[in-house]
Amino acid sequence: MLTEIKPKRAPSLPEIPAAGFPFLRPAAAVSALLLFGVLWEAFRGLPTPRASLPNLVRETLPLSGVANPVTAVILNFRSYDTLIEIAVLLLTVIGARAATASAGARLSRSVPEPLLAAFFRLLGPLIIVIAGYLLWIGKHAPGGAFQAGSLLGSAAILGMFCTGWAPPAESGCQAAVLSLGTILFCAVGMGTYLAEPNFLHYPIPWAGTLILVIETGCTLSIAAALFVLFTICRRT
Amino acid sequence: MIELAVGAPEMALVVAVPLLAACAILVVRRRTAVLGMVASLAIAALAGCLIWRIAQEGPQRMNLGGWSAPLGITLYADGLSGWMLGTTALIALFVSVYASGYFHRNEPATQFGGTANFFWPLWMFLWAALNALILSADVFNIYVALELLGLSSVALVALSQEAPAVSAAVRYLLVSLMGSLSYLMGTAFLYAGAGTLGFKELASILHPESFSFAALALMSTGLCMKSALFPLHFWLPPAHENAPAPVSAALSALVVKASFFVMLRLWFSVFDRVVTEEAAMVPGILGAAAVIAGSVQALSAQRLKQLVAYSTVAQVGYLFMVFPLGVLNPSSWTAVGGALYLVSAHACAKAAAFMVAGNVLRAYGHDRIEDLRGVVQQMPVSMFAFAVAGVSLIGLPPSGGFIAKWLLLTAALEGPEWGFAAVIVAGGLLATAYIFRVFSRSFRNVTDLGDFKKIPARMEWSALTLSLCSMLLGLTATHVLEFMQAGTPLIRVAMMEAGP
Amino acid sequence: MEPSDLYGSVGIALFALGIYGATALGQFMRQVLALNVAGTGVFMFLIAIAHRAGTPVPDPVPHAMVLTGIVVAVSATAFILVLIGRLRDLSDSSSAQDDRDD
Repeated sequence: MLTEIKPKRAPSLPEIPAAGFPFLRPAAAVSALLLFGVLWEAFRGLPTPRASLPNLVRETLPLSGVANPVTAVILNFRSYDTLIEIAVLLLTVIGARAATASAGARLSRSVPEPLLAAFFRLLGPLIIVIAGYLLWIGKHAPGGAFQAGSLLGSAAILGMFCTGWAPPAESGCQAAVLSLGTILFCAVGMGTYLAEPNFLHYPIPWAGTLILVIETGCTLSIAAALFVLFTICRRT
Repeated sequence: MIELAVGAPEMALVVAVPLLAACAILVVRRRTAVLGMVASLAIAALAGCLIWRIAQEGPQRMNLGGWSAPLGITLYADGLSGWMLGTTALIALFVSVYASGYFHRNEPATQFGGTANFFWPLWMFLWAALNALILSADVFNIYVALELLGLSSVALVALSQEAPAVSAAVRYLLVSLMGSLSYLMGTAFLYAGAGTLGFKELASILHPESFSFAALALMSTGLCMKSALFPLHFWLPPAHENAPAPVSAALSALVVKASFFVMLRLWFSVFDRVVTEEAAMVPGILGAAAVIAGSVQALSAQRLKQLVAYSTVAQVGYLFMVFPLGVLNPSSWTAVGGALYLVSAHACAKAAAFMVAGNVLRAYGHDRIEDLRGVVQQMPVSMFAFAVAGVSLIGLPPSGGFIAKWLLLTAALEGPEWGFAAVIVAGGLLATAYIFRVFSRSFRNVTDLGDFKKIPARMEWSALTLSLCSMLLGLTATHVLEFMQAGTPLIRVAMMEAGP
Repeated sequence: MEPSDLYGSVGIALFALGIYGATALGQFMRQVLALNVAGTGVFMFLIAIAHRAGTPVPDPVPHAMVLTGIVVAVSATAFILVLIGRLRDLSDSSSAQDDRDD
């Protein structure tokens, strides 16, 4: 039997006038229509596309260490964006923890059903292998850290449901896994100062390896972050 | 042709060091205040080094990853960014000092002990986001940094986990997300039309076309929402009231200014050829309305933190008047210099005011203005700090606030924009009214004083230091204005002629 | 009509619809859902502009922007849901309904 069953609520009514401002709905509707009109006109009036940036990406691709242009853009040309984005994910986990710290652990341990547990024993390793494959294939085809991390995180959630495994309490080890992506990214970024006076400037022969190292760290962090966020959401 | 010095490591380190510090605090989870203070000193030192470099060598540029724009992301630091970075570092350092006293582990209320472990990492993320935003010269990078800023601010508002704080945090996050999405849509239009994301390239490509107007409107709306410009300011007073005092100080002093700074950069360099005088009147008029509306609501506030929060709404209104005043006279520094001066002077004064409000709250358990009798007898340092901060908020000489309002008034009279000039003067009078409301209650001598709890000395002295800084700004105006012009940031030709 | 024109228009429509929902609807949960719709609209628009008439191959930069945007949007949505859940716990009411103020 799975954990706490919340009592079913009646579906809420669709028409609830907003308090305090009786003309809000019509005014908002008119504004939204205007917005659509203005943006659509702007979209239709766009000049013919310059292909300068895609061509530049295609030409510089051999120097980036990977063969997939999207991975090259995310992890090499515009890696600073990805660094801040990984920090956003980590921040979300900390913020969610901070906002619910005094909620207490209402997550009860679920009783494992033998059928589900056996099913997970087959499926779990398979998901992990596929996640690893997605991570690796990111160099040549669509894939990479985010896809692999999401898959790995969902494997952890599935495992929690199927085998009754309760997530461990907060610990330094857990924090280390969560922040691994950010730490690796910043460390590599600062480390490249040894080669060139620049941040996140991968030396060209090492680019592919460094990207893989960063992606692996990010995969683990993303998986841990999604899993922790899920358990926090379940608790509230 | 301006030769740009390349590769100053501090530009990236001011972002990487806070991120690493946050991770270190998370993993170690012990002595968080000590780690936080060490990190704060390090980041402030890095910012100081960068400012020194700008003063000596001129503007700095860093092509991240070794890829020059439009392929990669560029960081750019000239006088304007250096000044914002310095202001951020100064205020953030003193907020850290204040917070190390506010979240004390040995307090009987155990919630503060646990909260301290969450405060420091979130605070480091906030500082990293501010630095990233100030130095970035790429529109999409600014979007990601804006999201980091918004989420960390909301997380800090919700730190106390009480219902008013969490409810204010939800509203803040909803408005913040709407603003970010609007900004992102603007970025999409910019890329669709111009094919690049870097400031320098966009400044040379953009002309008055339908997609540029759409992008300008979308991005400006998003940034105005994040800066709480009237009438989209409703989220700010509850959020700043219910956040812990060091967080309120940082939010009012730095976070709302960061999106304003981005908008300033966009209007005066990227969209320089696209903005029109009519378009510039919109933020100007809304700013004028904000000054009046915010000041009037501050007059009727019941609690000290509420009053200070409404004062922020009013002072942010002054900032947005720079758009019409600056567009009217594009090569003059009066309006933009005044706005940046107001950013710093207000940041120091407002942070000090919130710190004093926090002191009062901690010492007496409440901050109702009507019941603040006799505070000056028991907390003279804090009330003196509030008085000095109040002088800067009103705009009396010799404070930084006076210089800022003087510059804005001069720009308005140059126009001549009599409406804006009248609003600036009226705002000063209204500010006098609401600041004196606090003084008249607290500076009375009464015999029976309520329960008083002693507060750590550093909380009072950090408030005093910041308020004295706002005074100091008033005395060093010429040097500051000279520094801000390093790299001639307003004249778009400078950015275009500079090398890759 | 070019496929990219269609997708771009739908993206803009979703964006406008989401913004309408976020401003006009009165309950936090619905506003969150509306913002997600708006976000999806923006991402769709970005994908549409990546391969307009005139570009031989799809442009990787908007794809990278969408990937980053999705991660950020998911994080923000998760966080706001946690906050709303906390509010629900604290207020003890039967739904996350709340008065709007202006």
